Amino acid sequence: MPNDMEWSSLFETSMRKFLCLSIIPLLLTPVLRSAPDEEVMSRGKALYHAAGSCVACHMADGKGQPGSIPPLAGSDWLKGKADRTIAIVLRGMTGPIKVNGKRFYSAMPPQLLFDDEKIALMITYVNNAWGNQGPMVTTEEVAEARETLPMEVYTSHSIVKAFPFEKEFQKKNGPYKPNFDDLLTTVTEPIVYRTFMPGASPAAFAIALPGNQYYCWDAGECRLQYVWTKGGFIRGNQVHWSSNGKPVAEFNGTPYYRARSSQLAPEDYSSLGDTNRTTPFYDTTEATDFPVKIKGVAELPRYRGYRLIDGYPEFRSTLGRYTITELIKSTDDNLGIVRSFTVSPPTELTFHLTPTEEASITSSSGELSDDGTLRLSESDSENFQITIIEKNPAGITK
Amino acid sequence: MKRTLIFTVVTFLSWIAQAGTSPHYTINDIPVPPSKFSSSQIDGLTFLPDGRLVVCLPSGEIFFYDYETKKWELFAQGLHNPLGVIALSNSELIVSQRPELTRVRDTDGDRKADDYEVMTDQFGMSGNYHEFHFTPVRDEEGSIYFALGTGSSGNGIRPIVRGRFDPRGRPGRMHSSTPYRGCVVKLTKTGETIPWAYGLRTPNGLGFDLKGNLFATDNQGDWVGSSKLFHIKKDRFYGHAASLTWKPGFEGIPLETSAAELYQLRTRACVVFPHGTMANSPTQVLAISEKAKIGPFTGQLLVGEMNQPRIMRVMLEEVGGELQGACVPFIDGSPLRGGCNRMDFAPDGSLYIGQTKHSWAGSQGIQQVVWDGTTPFEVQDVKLTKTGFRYYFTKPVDREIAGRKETWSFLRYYFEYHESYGSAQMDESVVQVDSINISEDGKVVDVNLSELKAWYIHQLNINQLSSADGDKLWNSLVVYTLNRLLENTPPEPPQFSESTKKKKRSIEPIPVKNPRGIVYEAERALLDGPVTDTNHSGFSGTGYIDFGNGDQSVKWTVETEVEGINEIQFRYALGSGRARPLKLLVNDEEVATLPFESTESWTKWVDLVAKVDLKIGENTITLETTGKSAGNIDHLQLVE
Repeated sequence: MPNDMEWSSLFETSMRKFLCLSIIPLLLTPVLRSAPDEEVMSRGKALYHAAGSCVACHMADGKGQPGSIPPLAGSDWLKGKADRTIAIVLRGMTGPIKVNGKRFYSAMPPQLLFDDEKIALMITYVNNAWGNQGPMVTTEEVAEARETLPMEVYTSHSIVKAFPFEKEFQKKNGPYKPNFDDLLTTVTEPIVYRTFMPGASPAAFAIALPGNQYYCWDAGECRLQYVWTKGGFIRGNQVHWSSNGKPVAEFNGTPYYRARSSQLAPEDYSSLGDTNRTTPFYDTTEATDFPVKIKGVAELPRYRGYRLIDGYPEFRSTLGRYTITELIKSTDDNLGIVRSFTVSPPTELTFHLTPTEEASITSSSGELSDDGTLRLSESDSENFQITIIEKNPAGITK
Repeated sequence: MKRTLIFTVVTFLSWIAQAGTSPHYTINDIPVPPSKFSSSQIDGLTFLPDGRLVVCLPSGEIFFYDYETKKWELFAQGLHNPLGVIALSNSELIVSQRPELTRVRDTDGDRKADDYEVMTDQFGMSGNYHEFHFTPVRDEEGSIYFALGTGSSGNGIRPIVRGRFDPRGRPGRMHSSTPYRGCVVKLTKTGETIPWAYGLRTPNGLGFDLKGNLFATDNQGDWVGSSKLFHIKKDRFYGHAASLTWKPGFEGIPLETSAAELYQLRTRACVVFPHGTMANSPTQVLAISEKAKIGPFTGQLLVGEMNQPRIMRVMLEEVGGELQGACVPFIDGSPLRGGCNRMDFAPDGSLYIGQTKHSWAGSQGIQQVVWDGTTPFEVQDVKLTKTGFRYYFTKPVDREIAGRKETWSFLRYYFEYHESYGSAQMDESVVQVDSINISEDGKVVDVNLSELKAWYIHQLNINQLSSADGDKLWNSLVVYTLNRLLENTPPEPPQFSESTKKKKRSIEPIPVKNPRGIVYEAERALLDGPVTDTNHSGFSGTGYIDFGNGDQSVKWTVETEVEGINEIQFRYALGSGRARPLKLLVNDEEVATLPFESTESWTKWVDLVAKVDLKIGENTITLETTGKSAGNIDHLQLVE
């Protein structure tokens, strides 16, 4: 049975064929187009770049983020009349969309903080920045739309129904049938996958947390390898799981925290997703970066498993006679992660973190030095938290 | 190409001859679990003590199925390619997944697993996709055995590997560069992980018979002339060289050991599944237990097959202190699907089968085989006699047909032991029937042969035979792996061959410097795969190198005093019409793919010039195939 989308496009196709002849004279009329003046552009640009505004997702260059946030620069969606753009900005839009033939799955929230004039300026700026040549938008147009548009968030289907594309853009723009990966826009409960991950031993975990923080935990080295948030969770899983298992998982973002690997040279990092090497950079019997060091314990750490607590994995490792657990959650504001550790029996230890420009690192107890060494007394070690927060998290809409 | 074509036709014909499942068995499709990854490949299958069905999916999900309510319940998720499962209780499973053997438990009674405990991860993973962790089995004491696949030259290894990397096990078509790849491993009750047996390639199936003997299947490939069933015993070596890396006392490099020496070390298969005739990719071994309702075959083994819709039946006997025996197709042809990877008997005695493919031949889904309780006309057992074979049938045979010599069509051959992939049927000949004796009740037939030859596979086709009451013999291909005779077994003949190509493999690059300082002969460089040859004249030095198929490479160590761009030339000849590109690596980093156009003759040598960025001192230059063969390379010259 055809769904709404198919019916509507069928209808439009036949209507368009019918109307085609009558439209031709209009198309032949030259369109007189004037570019916005500098002041309008500069005010629009300032609003675009304001904190919490468009730039956070669509980026300063208007190129968006692959897979999740569509580009504004060169977007077919901005061509023609501005009414569709105004509707999306005012009411928001959910559902996966194709833009210029590429797929994007993040939702666009309605912009409730800006008045009609500001929205008019922003859209005008977007319509004419980065080589775009779109219409200017007036405060009145926005005001009228705000009054008349239905009070609901558009879906990728309903927006196209309400504001159809010109025929030449229809094929590459509009809704598409999402697969499982695309539905992970908002993580509502922890997701635990074991799969091949770049930058980890083959015994790796990929975990997604509510709050859209993602991390790779390595059971081969018994430690957190890296954390990321932009760009969404790993993709391509279905290919991996339905085939011979060869692919290494991929994701679009860049980790904002990555634990140090003493055996890797800086140039090695670009090869960490390789699958076709003759020799490895190192094997886990040479791995020296287990974060917990206890005086007098020379054994390698052993990974022992995990239990799920409200769906969150709590990893267990042993170092000699000590058991160390780690459970990771998003911070309350979803801007970073909190790593909760227990050590049993408690003992004086050092915990080794990797300082970075990209993130701030704090500890619930003990002394954290500039080189990332955290010294914990016996009593502190029993239960401690380390919080890693991404600095300057522009680009995340929570 | 030609060889493949012929092979395909033969295979097709022999499969057609067997198509169609015996009418005594009904095959039902079972609904598949509601995986959120929309795949219904089944990689693990067993039953809980309470009778519910358990299945593992490649997506890492484990579902339980109540076949009375016909409802699926998700029990666990997030596992890495789980390929086998044992149910310890209604809330506790042992699962083999790529990185470990894991105890998966529901500890709070909410019917969902919440504890994933490592039982053992004390084995290696290079990250190669072919390093599967095959099904676990448990003995009566509670020890667990599992089988680890080798890595494939279809891809390399990962930048970080788990477990100790040993370069001795890395070369070759299927490799074992981290511990115990290609081994059966035992996890003792006290938690020790020990390599139990060596020399396996792709052992996608373990199983005990009712007497406690452990078996493993292996898939045809390098060192495995045709797929096999091995009787697994401690510390034995079963033929695939790579895993010798992990055998205590073996000091050498597996692939530098002669085939003759390996042939002496290895234990023969108790049953060989002739490739293209019986099976191309055998899977799980399942003993037919007392509770099984599948016909009068208690104590025998079932073995699944990936490539065609077939489940085989294996009949063994002890001869000369070792097990050997026969296999027959059993559940065969449509409506059974291919990809029969895991199976188990349900509480009602019917057989459940999980099907998978993982991008190879196979299918997906779950099927159930139900026997109608009437006696099918089948070969019930086979025993070796001093002069031939004794066949036991489930029903009296048609005496007239059975009494004709031409009813019994025997073929004899062996599969050669060698490094290259698979083997033809060697020294194949028809064996004449000397005489036939049929027992009074018509259920036992002694077939005496003109000659009974040890260490040969004896393949019998009796598709003309029917029972006294007119039943067709549904499974008429009976293949007996005759290793030992009842008495006076001759020593094993040399059924092996050394690699016909002269190999020069080494673990460390051998720096080669030509006296002239600028010409580096290919035949003296580090070769992984290519062989030295002298057939086509015009080469410099003592020869040139010839690439084969698969991933092969030549690596030179050159020295330069020029920092930055250096010009290098490869002298080569390529007689075939098409370009055969090679990857160029400088200091192990891929920098380009060089075209290597045809030179129109194998004796026409030309130079291909490339500019590369070198550092002062020693640099390595590598040419690597892209999976296909390449031109002959004579030398590398550093242009001054």
